[in-house]
Amino acid sequence: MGRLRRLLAAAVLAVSLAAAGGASAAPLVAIDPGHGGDDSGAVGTLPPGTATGLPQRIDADGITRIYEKDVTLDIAQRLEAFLRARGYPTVMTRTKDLAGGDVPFTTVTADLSARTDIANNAHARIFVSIHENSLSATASGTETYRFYYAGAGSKTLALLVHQQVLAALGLPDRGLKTAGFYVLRHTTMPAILVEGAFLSNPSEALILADPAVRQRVAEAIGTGVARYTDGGYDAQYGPSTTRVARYQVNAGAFRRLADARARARLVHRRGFEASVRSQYSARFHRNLFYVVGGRFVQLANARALRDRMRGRRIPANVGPVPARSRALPV
Amino acid sequence: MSTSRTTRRRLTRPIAALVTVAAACALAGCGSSDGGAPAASTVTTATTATATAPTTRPATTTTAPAASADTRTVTVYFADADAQRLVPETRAVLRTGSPLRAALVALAAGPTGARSMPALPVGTTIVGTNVAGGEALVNLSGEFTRGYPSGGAAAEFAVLAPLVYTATGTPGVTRVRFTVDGLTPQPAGSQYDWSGTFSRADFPGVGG
Repeated sequence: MGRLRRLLAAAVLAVSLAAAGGASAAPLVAIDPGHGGDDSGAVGTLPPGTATGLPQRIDADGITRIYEKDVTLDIAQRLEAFLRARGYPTVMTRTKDLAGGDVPFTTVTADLSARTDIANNAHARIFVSIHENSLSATASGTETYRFYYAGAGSKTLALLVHQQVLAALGLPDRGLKTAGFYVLRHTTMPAILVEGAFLSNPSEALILADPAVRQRVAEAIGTGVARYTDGGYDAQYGPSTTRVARYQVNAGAFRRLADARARARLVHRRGFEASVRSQYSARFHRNLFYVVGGRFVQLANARALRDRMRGRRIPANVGPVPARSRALPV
Repeated sequence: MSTSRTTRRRLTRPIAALVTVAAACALAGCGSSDGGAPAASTVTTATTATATAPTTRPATTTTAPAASADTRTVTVYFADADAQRLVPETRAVLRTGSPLRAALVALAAGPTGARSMPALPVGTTIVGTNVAGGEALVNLSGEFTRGYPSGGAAAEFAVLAPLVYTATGTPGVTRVRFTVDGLTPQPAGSQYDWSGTFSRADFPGVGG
């Protein structure tokens, strides 16, 4: 009898520890409020005087507008509060009316790469990008995206979140979709992008103008995330179910940032995209400023860019995408 | 091609085909009478069709294609009104010249279907095209970036998916890279990585 009691007590303790461990080990969730700064995102129209709880946006013609960047940041902040209250650590890709990394908007590539850098470098296990849609005054509904090469983790996460957002908004279901969006392609964890409603549709813009609706959307996304983790999918699929870029085309590496920027401008002038990233060089045992022409999932595509750059007399080679790097403004 | 031979051939050609090609050429600014447009693998820099607003969509593009010895049929794609699927349309274009460029010029001219959406931002022209190794390089005018949707996956789909499907509908083209005035585009509000190529895999299951 004494032995049975000891076994029972040990079992109870094990369950308690597991629960405590589970709570403290809640996965890090990266929250990405779409657009920001000079990139307003989609723009909707509201009846004059509509109270939104967002920054007031009245254009030069006196028309009341609603900006996607304001809606996404508001929902993201509400989602952050929802998740933190439930023990989830979170990381935001922006916290202000700025581009990714809370820096002024320069280019869309710099903006989006800053967002994925934040999530990847923080080793987030879940990435949720929040957006609103736009097309026409009659377009309507909710859709959720994952990267088309993403694994089962992203697919499951997309499904669970999509179901919740659909229920929260009650709008037509435009479906679960796949796309090559930058933030889905370049993140190293299950990642989704939610397009809640259409700002181009005046009635849906009005819905999103309501703070209570935005709270519902945030809670819906949070509930979907919680169902993903509570359902054991995070443990099952882990952080690396997305096919990520592994090959990077480098157009030079420099000790001085000014030299790297000069090379990046040269690369631009010759018709290529280029960013400057600070990353560790194993050869020189120090951080260097790399001029990066692009990142690729497939080696053949990286080599193709390298060859095209060399064809324009730009020294280029293909290297691995480093585990950590930081994008710098050119 | 001599003038007399051309005249004889034109006498036997269906009138509809003449109307179609003439209209397409007028739109494209490409209808040189000597058929001297560049070959498919060369960069074309001639004046091209300009994307037009829906209200100014030219009625001539509604002419049904009628391929003849001097024409070929190309398929162009437009998003449906809900930006959920692509709707193919065919055009008869001159056999001479780049089929890629001809298809994109037709794309810029806009759809004929009442439920289809124009693909390219108003004023966009096809500055140049090049095909090498299965990859098409399409150089667009600055209006593309300036008129690009400021946000919304559906709005981006309505622009980008037709471009990609139309370009990759050209024989030998499997992926396409875009430039604007020779540089990698940076359309604010886009969610895509423009430094790489696009393929139909970017828009799976959209029909067409």
